[in-house]
Amino acid sequence: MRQKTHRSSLARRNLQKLFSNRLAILGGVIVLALVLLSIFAPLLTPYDPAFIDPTQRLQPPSAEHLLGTDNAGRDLWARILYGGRLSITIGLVSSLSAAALGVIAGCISGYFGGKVDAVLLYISEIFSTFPQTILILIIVGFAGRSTLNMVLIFSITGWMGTHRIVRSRIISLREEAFVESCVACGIGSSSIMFRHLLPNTVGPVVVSITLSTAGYVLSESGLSFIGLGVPPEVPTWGNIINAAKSLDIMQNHPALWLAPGVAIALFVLGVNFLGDGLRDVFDTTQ
Amino acid sequence: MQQDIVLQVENLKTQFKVGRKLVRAVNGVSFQLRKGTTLGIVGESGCGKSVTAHSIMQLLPKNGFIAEGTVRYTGPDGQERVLSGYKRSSKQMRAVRGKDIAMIFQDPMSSLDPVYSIGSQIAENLRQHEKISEKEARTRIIKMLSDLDIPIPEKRYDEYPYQFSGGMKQRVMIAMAMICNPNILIADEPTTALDVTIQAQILALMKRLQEEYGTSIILITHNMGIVAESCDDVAVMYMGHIVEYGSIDQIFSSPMHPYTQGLLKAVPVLGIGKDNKLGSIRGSTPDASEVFAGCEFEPRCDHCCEKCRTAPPPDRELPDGHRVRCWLYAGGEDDAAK
Amino acid sequence: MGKYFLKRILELIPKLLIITIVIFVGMQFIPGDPVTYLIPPDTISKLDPAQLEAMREKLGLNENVVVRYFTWLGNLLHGEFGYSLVSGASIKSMIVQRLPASFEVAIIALLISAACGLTFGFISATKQNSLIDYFNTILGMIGISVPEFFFGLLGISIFSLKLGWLPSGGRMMPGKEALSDRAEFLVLPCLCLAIGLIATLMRYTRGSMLDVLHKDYIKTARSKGLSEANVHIKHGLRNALIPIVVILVNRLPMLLGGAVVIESVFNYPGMGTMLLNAISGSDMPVVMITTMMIAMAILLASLLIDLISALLDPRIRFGKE
Repeated sequence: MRQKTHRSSLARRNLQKLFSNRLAILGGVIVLALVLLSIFAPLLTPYDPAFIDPTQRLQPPSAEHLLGTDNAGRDLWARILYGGRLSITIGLVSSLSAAALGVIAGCISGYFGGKVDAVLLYISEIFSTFPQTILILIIVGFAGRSTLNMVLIFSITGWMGTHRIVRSRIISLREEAFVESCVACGIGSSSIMFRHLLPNTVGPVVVSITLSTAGYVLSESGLSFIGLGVPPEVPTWGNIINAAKSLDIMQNHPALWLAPGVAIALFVLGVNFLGDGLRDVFDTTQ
Repeated sequence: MQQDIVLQVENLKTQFKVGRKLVRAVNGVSFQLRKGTTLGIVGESGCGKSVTAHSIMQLLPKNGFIAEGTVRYTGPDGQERVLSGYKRSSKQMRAVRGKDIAMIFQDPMSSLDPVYSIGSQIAENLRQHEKISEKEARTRIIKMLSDLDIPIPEKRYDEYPYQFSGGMKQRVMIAMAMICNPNILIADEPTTALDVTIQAQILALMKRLQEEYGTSIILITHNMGIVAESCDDVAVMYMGHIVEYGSIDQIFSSPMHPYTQGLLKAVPVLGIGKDNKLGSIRGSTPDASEVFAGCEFEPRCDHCCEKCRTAPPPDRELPDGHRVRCWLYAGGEDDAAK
Repeated sequence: MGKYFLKRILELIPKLLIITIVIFVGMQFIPGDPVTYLIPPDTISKLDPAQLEAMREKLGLNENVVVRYFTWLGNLLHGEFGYSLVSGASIKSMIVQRLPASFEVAIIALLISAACGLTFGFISATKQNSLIDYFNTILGMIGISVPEFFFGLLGISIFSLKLGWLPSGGRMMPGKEALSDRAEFLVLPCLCLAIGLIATLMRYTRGSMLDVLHKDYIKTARSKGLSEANVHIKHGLRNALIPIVVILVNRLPMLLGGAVVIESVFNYPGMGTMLLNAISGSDMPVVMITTMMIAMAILLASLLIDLISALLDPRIRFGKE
């Protein structure tokens, strides 16, 4: 019972600290706004983002089409709203699965140490040598474009960061006396790992997940832009901009690439502010 | 200023801006350093002794500043300089630092830059203040290193701090401080981070340097034992004030302030007898940002009265130079100055 | 120092080999007969089925995986990289043709990033909380939040289409190969590629400098009467650089990945666009071999940068005791 109140007062202090950081609040508000816009997309636009209307190609912003239309006559505002859904989801899911792999690897590495640790570190190094973009390129070459492939690659190539964080945290924790006493009481190693050491790593892992979400949204946008990411039927912020590769569109229909670009930038900026704020919170308390 | 006073500190007040609070670390400290002697500044952690030393050298962190008071330094040429009047990184102040007044710090492990050889770091001080060639500097430094009992100095010159032990690193710091033959050496708890056996060596070393070079030393410590061994004069500090000031005889044979008495009773003495308890001062040091209307020591003092709580005690100086800041000795204030 | 260098090179070799193994495994998934990309296509068309089978024997293609790997590796070391399934050109010649272009952009971007990132971070740290610091921090946040291809599009639309100062793509005018003539083509791609890294380096340099400036040896340096500039650069920056170098090594893959996107934006004929063309033509041999070269390049670059960090920090050089 006392443990719970201690935890909740710590949580309350952390929340207080987070709320006093104005940039973090701003970031949180921006992220929330964009997420809500995406979720409530059907309420905010009457158009279907996939509806192709050749008669309405490349219309400038007007009362009918808030941001105009793209080169297939699809309403841009609708595509951005619905595009947010996929972009944000991809970012979040990739980030969470990469973190999950990283946490498991980090626990094993940190707790068992020795050869196991050395092998995992070596594998981590080898993985780090291949640029993410190029690995996706290869998968696309073999298996074609798909969202699932992209998320898989993101996860498989993104675990190294979390692995390092969790590993160093566990290494410093396992030297502490309470682990020895757990072992002395006969508590099994997986139990020690999951119930005692792991909760202490939550802070930095949360920060890592937040910041890497931003990174994955950026990666997805870049890959979709060059045509390796999400196929164009389903909009994401990145593949909307893909149409802007022609100089004509760049010059004469700026809304097509400015709007989704600003959406990406705002979202990533917001997440970064939030993540930095979270990092400040977790850094000093630990 | 008198002929043999090298440093005169008058009513020094140093403060820190911490967030929105103002921390008064030093609250009106005055003392003198006589040529060729060692002045010990002793007190608990947080009493302001280290801040006093840093104020003299103007090495305070960015949020620290001298609010009031003067620090006057007289060089061998007889010229007096008001150090507290110089801007922190001005040419005049920097000319004094390292050359006229040098400082060694508490933790030798972290006080040396890990990426440069110790020889080059010592040379940095030398060549900052004197126009000599690298070769000449190297020769002089190797001589000083061997003077300080560092073996194989020619080889050690090019080695890096991580290759030295704690005691050796402190010797390197002393070499770095002494290389320009400064008039004043300020040693801020030079032995606190070292083993007891090394402590004795370092203190003996400093004594020898004083005899050889005539350096005046300010020794900051919390250890009364070190004070007894190494100092000629003593200033006892508490909560930013000097509560008692005098020669080593005066302080040790007739301590006046209750705090000084408490400190002396707490030092274990050989032959004390197993039935005698070591004295201790009740209570604990208050927070540095607390403000007191009266005497700061009052909550822990066994001899206090009503006046101690309401008004700050005056400084009383006896004819032999022994000074104390306590209401116990303030009777008949008007004629005490005579 | 020499010993450290040697140790790192020895560590490098198994890593290089592992990369070749990974690529080799990947290449096993390429559909079709490996012979088609291991010998020049004009040779294949001249061979009848019996000679083709003899050729396959010679290349060890009928043996087990291990032998095939070593045969392939041996050929690699002799400069035999294989042939494109689409164009039939030797992959080596393709890489050699495209490499200088990408190399230029990457190196210039790296140098700009290092120079600007370190300088701005240094200024931010030494003038903490000043106007310049806040300005830099905001620029830094924008730099890591805006995708680099967006900067590319902005750059083209402003500096090329609107102002006409710079070309909107390509590498050079035909016949004009001198660097001075090509410089205008390099400005936008290098800058766009560099922005993200500048922002990252700036933030880390600021953080590292602030850490270092609180250390005791900075106070020691001041106590010797050194000027603030001396203290900040000789003792501050020098120590702050050590962790920054590690950051730089970690960001190299991202830099090269970004180069692929930037080359696409600017139609710049480098390895990036070569890869993208290969993908659209399903020319997997080209993709795999090029990937291998890129990964090796990253390893080598990491080695070089590690050596720099050893130069900076004597504890690394001599192996901490």
